[in-house]
Amino acid sequence: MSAHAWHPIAAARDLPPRHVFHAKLLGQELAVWRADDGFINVWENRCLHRGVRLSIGLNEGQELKCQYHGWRYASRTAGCTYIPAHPEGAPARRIANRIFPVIERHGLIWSALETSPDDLQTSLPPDPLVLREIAIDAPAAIVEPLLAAYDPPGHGPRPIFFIQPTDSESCVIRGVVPEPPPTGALALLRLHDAALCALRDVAEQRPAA
Amino acid sequence: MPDPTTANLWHPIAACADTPVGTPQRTTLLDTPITYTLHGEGHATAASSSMLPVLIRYGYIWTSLGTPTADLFDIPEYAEPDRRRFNAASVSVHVSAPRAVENFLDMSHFPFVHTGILGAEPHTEVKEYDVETSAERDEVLATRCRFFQPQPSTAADQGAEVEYVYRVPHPNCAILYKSSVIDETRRDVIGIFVQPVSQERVRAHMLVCVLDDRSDDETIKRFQQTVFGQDKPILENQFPKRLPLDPRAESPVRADRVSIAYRRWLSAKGITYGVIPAA
Ligand code: FES
Ligand SMILES: [Fe+2]
Repeated sequence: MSAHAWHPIAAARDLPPRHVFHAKLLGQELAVWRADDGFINVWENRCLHRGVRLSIGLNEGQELKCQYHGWRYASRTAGCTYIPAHPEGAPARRIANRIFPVIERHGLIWSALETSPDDLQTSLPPDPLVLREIAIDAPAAIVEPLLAAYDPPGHGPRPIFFIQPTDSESCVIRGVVPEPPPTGALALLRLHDAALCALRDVAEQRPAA
Repeated sequence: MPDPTTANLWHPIAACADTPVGTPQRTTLLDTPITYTLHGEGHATAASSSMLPVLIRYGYIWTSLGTPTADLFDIPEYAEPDRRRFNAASVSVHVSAPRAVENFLDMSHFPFVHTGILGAEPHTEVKEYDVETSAERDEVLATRCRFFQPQPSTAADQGAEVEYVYRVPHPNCAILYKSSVIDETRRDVIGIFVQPVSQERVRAHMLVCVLDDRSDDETIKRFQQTVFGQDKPILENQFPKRLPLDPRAESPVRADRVSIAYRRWLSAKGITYGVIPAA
């Protein structure tokens, strides 16, 4: 699992207005939030001041505000813009959080831990049906072969699966159905949900090799 | 293994008022299971694999895994007969002891964490205050700390600029003094005595020792529990859980001078338990 590759970290619907989403990729916790202008921020999930998770902070539209002492960080740059304990003047020195690259595509949000890899290559139509994500308490290497053999009866168009490696012990299956039939989306979601939950049970009972 | 300084400290393990008399109780201190019994009349015993020293002070049972000093730090106000004094709560928190102490010493979170009680926007400024580390008394002291509070205590009807003094006389214990709304010549005293269960888990025992002639005990307790209940989720979302002692590890500002002094004092004491020592 490469720190240089793109991995899905959320579904687009996980980022409603003024929300901060808590994600994890390869052991790195991320605070993910969509600014009012649509820009998606993927930041290290830690306030630089005293280490509080920014995912419990407030998305104020163009800035994220930390819950502990109200420090504000600007969308895009992640630079600290305001320190309420010293309201006069701008922060004395440059304080900026760590940011990660981001792409929104196919109903998913993608990121990478190391600086921008090449463009995300997928041959998917733009608006697939995004399945509910399935968090699994087993490493990606255990889940991959199970997904390769995934073939629930009567499933119609085959979903495409991406595995989000949250850390070395766990992962999230993110599936999308490229060209969903015009009707029956709900039945399709239910069918895959049940089949993937069964797959999860198998994955979690299998001892790591 | 805890460092020698930590092992030789007196640590709080329970409030006497919350401990049934004559029945052995269990707790954990510095990763070590402990059994203790309150025998009544100000006498208690404690043991791990062997008998441990015991002290009863400020309404709490204290013990040590090493060889502690003869007595604990002094809180002279505790002896004043007209004060309301009791344990307001003993709360488990998934954080290190020094992170819990540092939170207790911090004014700048009041408007954001204790909104409408101990602070409110736009009154967010932390004015200049004084910090000293007294070698002779071996404690960190912050004075002239002033902050606007909408509801400083259960005895208050309205907001006021309140003056605080903070004392850290023990690596895991801190005491604050804040202007009394009843008697301007005296100060309310609130202490936090933190029991390190492990390097990243604590029981925080909260002593109140206040001037309040109109609230019952439950009201005073509920006020402190509300305030600490607001701190707990913040503390549990702080990473790393152990306090980094390297001054470059986090980003302090002027308002954090007491935290900087506290971290330096812990470093000088050679404490490694519950912290990330400076390189
Ligand atoms: S920890 Fe975020 S503002 Fe202090
Ligand atoms: Fe607090």
